[in-house]
Amino acid sequence: MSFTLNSLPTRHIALLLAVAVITAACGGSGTGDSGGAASPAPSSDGGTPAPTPTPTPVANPVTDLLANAQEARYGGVLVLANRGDPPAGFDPMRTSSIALHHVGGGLFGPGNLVTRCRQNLYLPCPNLATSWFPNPGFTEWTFVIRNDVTWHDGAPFTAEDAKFWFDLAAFGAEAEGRSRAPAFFRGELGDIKSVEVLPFNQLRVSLRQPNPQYLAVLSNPRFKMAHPRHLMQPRIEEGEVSVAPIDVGLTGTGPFELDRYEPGSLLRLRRFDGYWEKDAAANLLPYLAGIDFVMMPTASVMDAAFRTGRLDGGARGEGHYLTVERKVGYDRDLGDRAFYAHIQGGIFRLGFNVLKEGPWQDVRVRQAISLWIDKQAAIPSALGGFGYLSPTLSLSNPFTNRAFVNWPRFNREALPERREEARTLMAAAGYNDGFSMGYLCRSRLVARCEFLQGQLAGLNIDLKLQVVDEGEWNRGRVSLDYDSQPGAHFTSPIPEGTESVFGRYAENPDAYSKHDDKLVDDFYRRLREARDQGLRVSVWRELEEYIIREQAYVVPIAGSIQVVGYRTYVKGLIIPPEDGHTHTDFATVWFDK
Amino acid sequence: MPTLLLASVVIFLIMRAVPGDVALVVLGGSGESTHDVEQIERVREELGLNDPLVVQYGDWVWSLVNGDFGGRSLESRESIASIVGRQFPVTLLLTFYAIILSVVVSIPLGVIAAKTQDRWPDYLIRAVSVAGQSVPTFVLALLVLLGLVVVIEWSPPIIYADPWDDPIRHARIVFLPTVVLAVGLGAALLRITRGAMLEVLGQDFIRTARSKGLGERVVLIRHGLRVALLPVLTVSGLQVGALLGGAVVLESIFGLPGIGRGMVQAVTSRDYPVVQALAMLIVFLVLAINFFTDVLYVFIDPRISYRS
Amino acid sequence: MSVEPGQRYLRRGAKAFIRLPVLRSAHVLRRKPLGAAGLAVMLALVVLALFADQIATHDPLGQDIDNRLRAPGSDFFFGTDSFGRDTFSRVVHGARVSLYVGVVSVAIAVAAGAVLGVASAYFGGKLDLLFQRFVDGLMAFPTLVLALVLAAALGAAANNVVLAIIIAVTPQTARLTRSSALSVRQEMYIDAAEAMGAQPWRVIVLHMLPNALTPVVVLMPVLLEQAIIAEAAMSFLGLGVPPPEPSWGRMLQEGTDGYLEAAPWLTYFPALALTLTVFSASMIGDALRDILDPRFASRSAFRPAEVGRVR
Repeated sequence: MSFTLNSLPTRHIALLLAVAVITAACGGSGTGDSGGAASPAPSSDGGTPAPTPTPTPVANPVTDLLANAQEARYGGVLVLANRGDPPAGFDPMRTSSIALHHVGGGLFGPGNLVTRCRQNLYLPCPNLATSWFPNPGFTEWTFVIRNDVTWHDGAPFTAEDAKFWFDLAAFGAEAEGRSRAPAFFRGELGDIKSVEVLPFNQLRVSLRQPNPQYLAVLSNPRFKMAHPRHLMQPRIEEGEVSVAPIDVGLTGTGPFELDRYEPGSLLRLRRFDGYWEKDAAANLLPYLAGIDFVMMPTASVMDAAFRTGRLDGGARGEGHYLTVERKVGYDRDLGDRAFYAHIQGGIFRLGFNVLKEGPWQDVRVRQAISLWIDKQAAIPSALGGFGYLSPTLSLSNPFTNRAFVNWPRFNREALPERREEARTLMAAAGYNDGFSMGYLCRSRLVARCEFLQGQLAGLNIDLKLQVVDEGEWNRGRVSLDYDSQPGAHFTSPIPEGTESVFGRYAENPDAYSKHDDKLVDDFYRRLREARDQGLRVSVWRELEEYIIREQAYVVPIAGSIQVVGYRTYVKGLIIPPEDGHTHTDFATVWFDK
Repeated sequence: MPTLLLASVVIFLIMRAVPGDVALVVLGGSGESTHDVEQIERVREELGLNDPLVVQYGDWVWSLVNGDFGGRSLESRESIASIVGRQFPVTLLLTFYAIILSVVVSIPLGVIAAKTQDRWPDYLIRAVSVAGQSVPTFVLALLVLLGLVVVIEWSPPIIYADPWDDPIRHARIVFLPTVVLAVGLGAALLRITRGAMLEVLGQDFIRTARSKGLGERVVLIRHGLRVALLPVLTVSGLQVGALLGGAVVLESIFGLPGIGRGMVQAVTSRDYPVVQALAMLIVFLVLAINFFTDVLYVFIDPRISYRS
Repeated sequence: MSVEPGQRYLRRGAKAFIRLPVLRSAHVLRRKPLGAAGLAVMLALVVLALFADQIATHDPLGQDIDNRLRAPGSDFFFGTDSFGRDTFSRVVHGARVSLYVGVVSVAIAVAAGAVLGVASAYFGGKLDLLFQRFVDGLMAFPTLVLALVLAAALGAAANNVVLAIIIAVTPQTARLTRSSALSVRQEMYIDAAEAMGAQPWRVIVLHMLPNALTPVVVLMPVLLEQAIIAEAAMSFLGLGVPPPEPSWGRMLQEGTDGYLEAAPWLTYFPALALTLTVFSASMIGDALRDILDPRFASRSAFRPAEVGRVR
């Protein structure tokens, strides 16, 4: 079962992520028109026009915030599974593990100064800042900080706290001869020159490069402010530079505060009565009395607990997201007593280390591999049955080329011909008898590696799986000593943000494909300079075609749809169409039982 | 003591064979991050990874002695002493229950089997024992846990409770793992009990006891079982390792927050101070149980006395 | 002491070793039906492992997505998995993995243990004492715990599991060899050999070793059982044999973590294979012990005289 060739989603097709240009088309009726995105799809070189219905994920139940506010009741403790203990001392500057972010939304709040809107993640909404204004050159962004926010210990949250966070993330810290490195997302956070506190609780962030998309950047849910200045600064000054949220009692500004943490088994959060956010009817959030996160590293054990009513909702994280086969049991035991969130995850792909000697340096070999792989087949076997085909970004993303199914490398009907062509290309490159290639394989996602291994065997390519744990994976993928790899999971939902993974290795060590192609630089420069939305879309599509079709630096295989079960009495849950890190604060959730 | 010390050397040396860089693991956790070289060097310095091996070993052993257990978890930053304090009782209780359960069930069954040798109760008991011995603990655990969900739509509670806090929930959560864990040990004990009883029952002193007109029950238990228990004890001592090995996997499957599951988690996240400390603790537990069986020997065997 | 009786003793020592494995099979079959059944299963396994390529009906790694999750039937005896790989062929090849890990690790452990144990018994003194302490330390490790520690240090790989099992098992074999070597050392034919001026290594290898090995042979099936369970458990935890190599433990993990209801055959067949293997090893072990180790023999077992005095 896979979500291809079905109806279009009605709500998140044409939501554009842009600061000035807002072209939200909420509630547009679903037609078979594949050009549902903001600009017309470029015609494919196969000459086929694009009336083919495009693959879509199912639409999630959409929570109407006003109706939710009117019906919501207070009280109740939500019991959710969590994939495991959050790593790295719960520090969002050190890890973006979903095990942290699933619990982090409640503790640290839904976002940063700005956050992805609850009803539309492609738009930034105010969070810890009430308003903002850039200078004309987009190099200075000034934020007005909320006055009614307090940390869980009662200390007020001010522009000073925000400055502390920005400085820590962008520059790290130094004390007593020890130094703390900047956040892992420093590169994404923009090239920050300085951060100043202005009168009236305002904050100014000065950038070295203009960044018109800065709000979109800053609303990344991974940038959680989990670093209370009044608790952390004294400890940093004493030399404890690596102080993490766990060391200061997980004190955040989020809707829930820490009650008890037993690593390996339970994280108990209780309602923070001083939380600032109000619902549409001006009632204080959150509604729930608390959340119990139960650490459940084994998915089948989580399934057992959910099906027997011991959990109100499942965990987020690869391996725990439901598969078609596991959902059979859920449906049988719970029927309509459960519903399912469908969140588009990142794309499962194959990226080549072109900087390393090997047959994959030949573009014909890369193209042959891209043509050979039966991408549709990955969905049932490697992605648990819930998936979609897309070159790079999620399907509901406005920048996504919805005509890509007509790309010769993506449509399944032509598989025999494609494979014929692949063989020809391999022969032309002189690899009729195949070759052997390594593939860095995350132990957590073994099924995908096995799928690739099986696929490439048909092309006489012996894919050697190097199964690595998370630590080795983090080291390996930014190094040059591997042949091929899947790349990290999620790409930024705005095209500019993809440079860190599609750009040249010299500046982007985490690139999915290690290449030294200066043309790619040019594309990104043009993209950054394009202020007009239509132009951004068309530059992005050129770039995408160049990287994926022409050069085949990266072979996108299929995107996963992350399915999480919840009981139907769990109301007010806001499910993002993509990126399971988003909307994990559960502030609007209430119990109808 | 020397045994423990030697075990500590073994664990320590193995852990230093880590090919990857521990510092990277500390920094990385999991996710989408990249790291600077200087940062890695800093973490190495902080963890004392740049000290000579002997110094590192000395530090570690000293921390084991003074109850620090090697500092903190790299993963959760919790002090290992507190991890041990939280997790050790769970494993201790689980193994204790499993030992008690297997002894209480399998020794009487072994005696019955010996008494009814080559008749149907004997065959039945032996069949169960063979089956119990053959199914690996983790296979049984999975089939029982997932089977119960399908058949009676029941699963154990998911949030562990200590017996002194909530005895009922504690009982409901440890019930299944105890039974599964007891199966392997029980089957082995049963087999040994039966064999030993058969041997003993054929010996002269039993015949003498019977001829003196003593009741069958007295003969069986006071005279027969007492002697037969010696090999049973020997075997139990040998089985402790297997029992704890089983507990490691069982805790992971049933979500019991004991040192076994802690160990598996620490291994998967390469939380090496925790792996070291917990492995040490498991070795300690094996030795302690062995010591305990040695003491029991003295009570059961009239011929051995520590005074002599 | 004359040379004549010395040579006789020597011959007797060698004969005992040769006679030992060739137990009279008819007797075994009649007296130890469970042991015989175990032996039959083990032989079947060995055949599966050796001729896996011929017995398997499909390529164990060959994917056929159009035929994924097929129930057992005439095309796929044990059904297919999520990639359309044939479970029967994977179970057959899994026997190879299990036996490889089991046999290699036990063989090396027995060999190493034998050398260490006999040397320790022969030389005695400080060396022996040191050796004893070392063995004590290692004996306290449950195999699985040692395997876990090794996996944490070296990563997941079949050979790391083998190494862990060797480290965990060698002390047991060494301890046992040493104690039986000590009693063998008392035997006259050793004195005879020494009196004949044999080199120490010659005495050890030719005389002590074969005779001291009997109890280790009894232990071997039990060790094999331990090794196979340890490999399966480690692979089940994702720390053993890496994919795509079919290992029963990993197949069990895949089967139970997501397909127990939709495709139960993915769980049942590897579980059955593993259980049968453990059953066979443990039954062979029981039978061997009853036959070769009179102290544990029950009344219905062989009389020691029937087996012949081995020591």
